[in-house]
Amino acid sequence: MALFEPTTESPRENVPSIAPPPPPPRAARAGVGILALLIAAFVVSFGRLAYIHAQHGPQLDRIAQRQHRSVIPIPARRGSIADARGRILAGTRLRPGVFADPKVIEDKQQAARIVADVVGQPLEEVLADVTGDENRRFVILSRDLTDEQAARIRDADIHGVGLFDEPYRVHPMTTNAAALIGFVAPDGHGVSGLEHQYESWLRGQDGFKTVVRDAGRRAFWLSGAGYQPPRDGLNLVLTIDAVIQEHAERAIARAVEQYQAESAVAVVMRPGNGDILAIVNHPGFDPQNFRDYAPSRYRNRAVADAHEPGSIFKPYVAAAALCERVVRLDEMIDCHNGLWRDGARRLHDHVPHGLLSFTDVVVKSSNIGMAQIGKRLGNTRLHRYITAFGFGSRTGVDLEGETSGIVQPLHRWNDFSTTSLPMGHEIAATPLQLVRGFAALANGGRLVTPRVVRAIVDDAGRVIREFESDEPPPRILPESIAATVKDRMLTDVVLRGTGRNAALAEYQVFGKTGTAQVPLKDRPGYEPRAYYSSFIAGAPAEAPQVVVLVSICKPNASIGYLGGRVAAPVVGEILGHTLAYLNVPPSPPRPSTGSIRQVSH
Amino acid sequence: MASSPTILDVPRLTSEPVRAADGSPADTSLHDGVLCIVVGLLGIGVVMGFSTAAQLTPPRTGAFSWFTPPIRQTAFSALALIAMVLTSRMDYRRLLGRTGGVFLPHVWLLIIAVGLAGAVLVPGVGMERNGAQRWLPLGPGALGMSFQPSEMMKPALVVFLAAYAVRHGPRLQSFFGGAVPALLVIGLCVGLVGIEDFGTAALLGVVGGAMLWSCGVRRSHLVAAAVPALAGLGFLLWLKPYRLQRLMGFLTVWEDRQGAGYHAFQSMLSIASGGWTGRGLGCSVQKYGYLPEARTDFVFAVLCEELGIIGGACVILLFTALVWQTIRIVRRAPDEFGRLIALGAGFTIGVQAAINVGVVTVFLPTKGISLPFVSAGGSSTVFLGFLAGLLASVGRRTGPPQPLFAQEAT
Repeated sequence: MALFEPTTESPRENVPSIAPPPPPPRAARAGVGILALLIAAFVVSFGRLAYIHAQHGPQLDRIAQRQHRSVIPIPARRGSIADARGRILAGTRLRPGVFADPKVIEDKQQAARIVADVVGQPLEEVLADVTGDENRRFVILSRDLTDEQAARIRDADIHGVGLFDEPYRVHPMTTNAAALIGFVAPDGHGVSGLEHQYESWLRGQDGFKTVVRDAGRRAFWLSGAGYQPPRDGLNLVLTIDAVIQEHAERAIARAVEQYQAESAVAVVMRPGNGDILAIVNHPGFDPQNFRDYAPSRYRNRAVADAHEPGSIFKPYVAAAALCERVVRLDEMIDCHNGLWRDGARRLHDHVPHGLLSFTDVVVKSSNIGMAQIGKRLGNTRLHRYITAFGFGSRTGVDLEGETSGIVQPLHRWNDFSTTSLPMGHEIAATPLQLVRGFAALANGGRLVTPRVVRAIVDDAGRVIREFESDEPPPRILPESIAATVKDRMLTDVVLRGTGRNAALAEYQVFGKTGTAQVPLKDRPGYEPRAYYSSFIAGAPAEAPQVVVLVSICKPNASIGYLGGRVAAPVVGEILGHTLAYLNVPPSPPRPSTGSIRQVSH
Repeated sequence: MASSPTILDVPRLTSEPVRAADGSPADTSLHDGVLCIVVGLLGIGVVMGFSTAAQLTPPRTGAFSWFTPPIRQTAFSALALIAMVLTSRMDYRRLLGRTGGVFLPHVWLLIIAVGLAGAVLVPGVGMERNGAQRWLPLGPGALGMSFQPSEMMKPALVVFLAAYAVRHGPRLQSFFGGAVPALLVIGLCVGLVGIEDFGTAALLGVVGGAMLWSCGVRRSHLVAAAVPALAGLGFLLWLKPYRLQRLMGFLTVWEDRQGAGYHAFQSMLSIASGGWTGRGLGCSVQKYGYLPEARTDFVFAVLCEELGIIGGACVILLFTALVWQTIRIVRRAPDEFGRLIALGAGFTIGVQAAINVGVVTVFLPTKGISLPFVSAGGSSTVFLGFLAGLLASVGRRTGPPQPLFAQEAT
């Protein structure tokens, strides 16, 4: 099989002739065969492409999507809580934090050094985080950076170290109404107070975006249809006024300090519609650092705690007695000089009195006088009126954790009850219940439903929901009776009775003192020399705008413990300030025998 | 014939139209076809070069600097085009040189290629990249250019074997006189290249074997040579353990997709996520760091992801067309030398393409074989351009097709 015709001269000069070459079929045939095989290989390659797609396409596509895409949540901004005039009590801001992706950091030592230097943490801590488990691709190194620190981290431009924004709750008014507002856990959920109660309104709805990432986990484009914007939370507008609240808190704090008391509660309410202007729980806490305080401080004791009210309960019974006409205002009642036996029971007055008009029984807060009124009313009527004033049932305030207090069912009342209840024993009432009942005396006999949240509004200020009742509150007393109790009895308490310390120069105050003993926790009986010193009052008497209750728990009895001494001045101060703040025109009261406080406008 | 000083009585270098024996202009359609196909592939390569160059971090140098990969690729593709056109204008028979002369281009080409392939192995001379010492520095260092001798080996071996077969035609039948020297040359080339570049060595071995198979060496001799060839293959595998690992990884792609099978699996993901019509040109996601060697060895996977199986099929079709042209040229080649050169050139390009597509479609184990003209790579593109030019050069001088079977010939 000669490929070329050899020349005759020499085998070395093996010159191939160009034309016409004899057909050497082998090269052509073998070559063509090999090349044909190659074409077959290309056909197979195409088949392989189609096979991969047909056989594994969907599965591989899913894996590819999992590899490329990730869903990034876009947190919704939590709604704010604002006071009646739009001051933010609780709001949400973003603060930068710094995180690391240990897997992609090249020089971990240096990265840790830079971060530690900027955030001021020990190098070892940061290094431990950075050199930790590489499969944790998001390790938070530090939270709560300042803008300047964040800028330095950004400028350092370390691959694998980045910044993230984290929402957190701010309370510009710090401890203002803390127990009422509550607080938010670090995960962004409301845990107590209004934050918890209105969680579904405040929280909003998180959005998300689906991004395509490169192998270095950098997001570089949005995946189609993979975006849902977050819906920010709605805002609460309260009836609380931060200025009144703040002032009340300071007044309470001063009194607690002055009398070395254990705690105190104050409620400021509009008697006409039940709008609560302030709720003070002292001692309070800082909702931003709630972990630093005992959980007992989180409680809103104005609605959650009930105790025996003591003498501030007397006006309600007096109103009942006048309603039922069992007594006249000027009827003289024998107060037995401070000691009265009624069957097996011995009753004492703090100050002995002889004959007192019914007015003065209340003005001078005689237990013996009230006990006799109780006997005239009888258990059935007494129970009916106490229940009508809202004791023993929840006020319906829009707050969680409200207790109904304790009013024993009628069939469990005995003769002791008849004389105990008129002086505020054998009953447990919350401060808010007392304020609400008192508001009925102030507003002409209507039992309002207290409220704290006025409306829910969106960011544009549109009202989404308004908590306004169209119906007038139910009447529980004739207007004349309420006016009589207010004008003939309770104003006299302030003018010449136990509540003189609450008197104001510009406004006529009406109120009632109370000094109740603190019960023992573990057995029947009372703690010695431990009192709730209370005063409940409203002003101005002609057209009451505000009612205030201050209840100071366990003042140091050697300094003072009577409600008229400890709580009345605080009530006077809060009333004076609040009325001035609300621009209530002054209407000087009748001259009185007590010392008069000047209101500073 | 004897009076002619050269073994082939042809012009030295001509740009004049080649004329057929009767003086009429020759049929250059085969030549034109090869050029068109290669230009098409180079164009696809440049486009894919720009596509795969997309990255999230801005390039350290300017977008149009010499150091941006697609710019270089464009330049080298242009260089390959020039090399191809010049070569196709040259008469391939000049590579045989004068009979008895000292300047035998096919021999010198091989000697230079072998020398460079040896030099690259010398520590300090060869440059190492990605753990393989395959490059020689070239030109001013500032340009950062380098040269890959294994790429030069492809045309050198094809030309040498073709010339060898033509020059020693009758002796090829003898084992020691014909087959063994050729086999030793192939073995030398494969061995030198294979130390650092297993894939190219395998390609050279296949091409060399196919040429011997077609040129008259006894097939029993070739079969006998297969035994030491396999032993050498085993040695090359043993030399770099990762090669075996890759071979095994190919078998367990699904199980070991984070480890040895990573390349192959990512390649399949690219193909599958492209579907039939692809994500659209430039829209590959896999190229952003998931698919290794997206610019070079796995550019076909990116192409499938962006242009779909249909786009991939078009590229396969172009290579098929090139092989088809090669078949026609082989059948119509005016002489045995041309026939063997055309066969070697077309086969080298075709096999390389088939291996690359096989690797990308996880039909073959992963090895460093690029897709001719499409993958980025300077030396590779230019020398493949030279090979395509040789093919086209033969295609310019074709006569009537040779009958394939003896009975027809007689």
